[in-house]
Amino acid sequence: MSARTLNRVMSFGISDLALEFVLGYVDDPRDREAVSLVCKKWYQIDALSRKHVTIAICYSTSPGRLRRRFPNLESLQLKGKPRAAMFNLIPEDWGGYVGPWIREIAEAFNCLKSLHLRRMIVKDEDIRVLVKARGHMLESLKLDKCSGLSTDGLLLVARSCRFTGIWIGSVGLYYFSLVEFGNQVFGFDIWLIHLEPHGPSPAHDLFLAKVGSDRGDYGLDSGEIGCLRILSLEESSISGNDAKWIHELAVNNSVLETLNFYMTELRVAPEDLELLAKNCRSLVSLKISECDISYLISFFLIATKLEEFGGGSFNDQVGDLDKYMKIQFPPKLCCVGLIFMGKNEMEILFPFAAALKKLDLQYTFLSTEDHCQLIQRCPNLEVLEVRDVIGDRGLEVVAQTCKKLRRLRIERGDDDQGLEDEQGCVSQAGLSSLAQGCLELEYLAVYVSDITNAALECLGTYSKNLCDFRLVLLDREQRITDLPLDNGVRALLKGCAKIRRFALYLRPGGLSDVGLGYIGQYSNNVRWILMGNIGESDRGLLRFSQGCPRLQKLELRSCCFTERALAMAALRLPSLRYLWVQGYVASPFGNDLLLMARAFWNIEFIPPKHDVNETEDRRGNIESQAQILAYYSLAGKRVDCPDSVIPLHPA
Amino acid sequence: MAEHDFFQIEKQNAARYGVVDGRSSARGIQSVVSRINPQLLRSVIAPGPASMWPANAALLLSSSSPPPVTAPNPSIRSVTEISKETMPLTIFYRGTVAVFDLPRDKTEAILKLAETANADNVIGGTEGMSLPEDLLPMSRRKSLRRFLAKRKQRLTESGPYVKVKEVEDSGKIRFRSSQAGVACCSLRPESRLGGQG
Repeated sequence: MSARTLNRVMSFGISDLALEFVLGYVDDPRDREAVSLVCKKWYQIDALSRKHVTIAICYSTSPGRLRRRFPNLESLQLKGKPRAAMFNLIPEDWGGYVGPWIREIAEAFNCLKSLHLRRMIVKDEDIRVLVKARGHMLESLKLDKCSGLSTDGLLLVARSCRFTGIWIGSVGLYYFSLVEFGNQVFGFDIWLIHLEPHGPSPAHDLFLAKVGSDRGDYGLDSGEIGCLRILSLEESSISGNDAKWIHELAVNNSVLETLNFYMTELRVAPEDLELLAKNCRSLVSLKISECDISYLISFFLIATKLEEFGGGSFNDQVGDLDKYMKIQFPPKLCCVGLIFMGKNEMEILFPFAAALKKLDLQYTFLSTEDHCQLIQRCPNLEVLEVRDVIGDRGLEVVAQTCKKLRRLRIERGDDDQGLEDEQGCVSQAGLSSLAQGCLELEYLAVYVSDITNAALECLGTYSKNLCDFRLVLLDREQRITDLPLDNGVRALLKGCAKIRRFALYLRPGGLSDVGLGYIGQYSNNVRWILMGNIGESDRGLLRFSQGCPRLQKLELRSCCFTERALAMAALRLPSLRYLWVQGYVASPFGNDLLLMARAFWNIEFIPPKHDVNETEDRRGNIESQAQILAYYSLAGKRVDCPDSVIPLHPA
Repeated sequence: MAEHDFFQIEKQNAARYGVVDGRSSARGIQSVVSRINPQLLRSVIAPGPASMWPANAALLLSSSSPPPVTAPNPSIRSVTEISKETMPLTIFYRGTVAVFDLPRDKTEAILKLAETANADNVIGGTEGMSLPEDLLPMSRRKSLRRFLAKRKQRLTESGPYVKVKEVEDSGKIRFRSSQAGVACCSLRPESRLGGQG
């Protein structure tokens, strides 16, 4: 058959244009991947119309490759450092520099509107390049657990929001083709911006032109400016004491919907937040660093559309507790997380507790009883985050009250006796109640002090919607009621067929080789697994690696496996593209690792550290054990490794 | 027989830990021993010949996977063939070092015992289960660690919020919510530090 006929056959007689339209509705990356494998034509159409890409580790490809494959990307998510960085296990200079990506974005990605960087190093200079090139189009910028920048960088973002340009009129429907043809029409740079007016006049889809690179200040008469809707800096390390950037943001932007600098040390002035609320009438979500809530009374009165608020704090000066009672929260507020909130202060939530959908109590001072008191008033809760001070008793209340609960995170409280409520432990009793009470549960992450097989079986029986399950067994109790957990884990995985993410962190004796084999056998859908202190020997790991057909990312910690077994497992797992290990049995010269060497498989080694590190829990010095990181890469060996990282392959 | 409890580890851990899991006892000992000052170690082993020292040092202070340290490395024995009848057997166990002068057959009997004990202790269920000290410490998320540190700071600094507290018999301070709503306990009950700032 001729090539032309073959093409038509492959496209089932559908014209290219029609195909493009149809594929425009295909969003799921896995579907898109399948589409791109059908034939060259479909590959090309997918490539030109792909809107979003998530790159799970930024060294798996290069900016140039991304640009050549998906030139019209509108949204990009990049992840840098391994997940362990969130637990302080990765050296700060390990890598994940966003610089090369930003330069490519500035030069070539003309359609990019949304950028989400996770655990990457972002410098002020990178921000400067980014906003200069894309500031006029960027709708969403998320710097999630990033480091390297300062408030100067934030100032650049805030100032770039200001839109300057001249009107050339409203034309509506043909925007897509104009953008496609490029951006030089009569010497003007043209792009589309959507404006929401202040007053009663309708929204416009407009063409606006910017004259060359002169940012003449033509101004706009209806006062709507900027296109940045989402700015998130959650948990990033940002230096600088300046709060000016918030002021600039408030002045230069009026379409902001989400601002998040939760869990940062950034300073914030209440007046600037008030200005933000006045100017950004669409503000629905604000999460800030610590700032006494009593200073935000005016803010809450102005931000009438606010649905989510996190951060703030209750300062600890004795005296006027009434000042907190004076706060009137916005009418639609349904997602709340207040830092340092105590028993009396939590009463300010009572008037609208029944409307609460999301509640973050991880950073509060509530006791077990306080949790019970509060949660029993929240029947509509969908997302709950707490420390294990909630206790089994609190979980009983959750099970009875929160029938709509989808996500529950139970973090680890303080180990120091006396600092946490003595009732504050979660065990098999709480988990069993939870499983039976909250049938909608999709995400469960929990630190337990005790556990039984029966509790896991209970989860397997009731929690049919579970997609993400993470269990960590604390080392508080010397004796655990029921170990090993082989049968419970099997029942859980068999019963919860939708699980895609699975973490199990136990102690020696917690899971035998047989149990490890069960995980392999019953993890049909699982994409990510983290395991700690599991298994007895290499046999277990090898059995595990015979299963897990879809496992893409594997993290192992504090295990008894040899390098040889790790290498064999990596070779055997059919979908594995990322492996991280800390705490294993090293071979004398470390060369067993190279057993898994193959094309496109990068192997990096972080040798152990022997110096005194910051105190972790009750331990004094940490002797950081060696780490292995291996991942598929089309980009070859990293060129920006620090001294602490040794590339083993390619060497 | 010479026995030294270098780090008072026995005292500290007597209540906390039971029998150490055989499988990881080697690693446990290794990590403890690798922190022992070599000079100190040498003084303990002094009764034996000096030539035994280098082999021991290499064995003890390396950080790679060790053979069980309860058994003297055969290379040590060959190096220290001073007497056919008795030779020093050095046992490192949970922070203590013991040196015995034993005939060869007794030594082998002990080694055998240690090996079988190793094999038996693989999965012990709950009996004899304890937490080996050498496990990688469980790390905490940064945000949570920061919060807990800040809370500790507030508790130790702000006296006025401490309303009710009890001191148990053992002297451990119990926890009770204060009227002001801040769940806390003061780590120094008698002193009232001024408020912050």
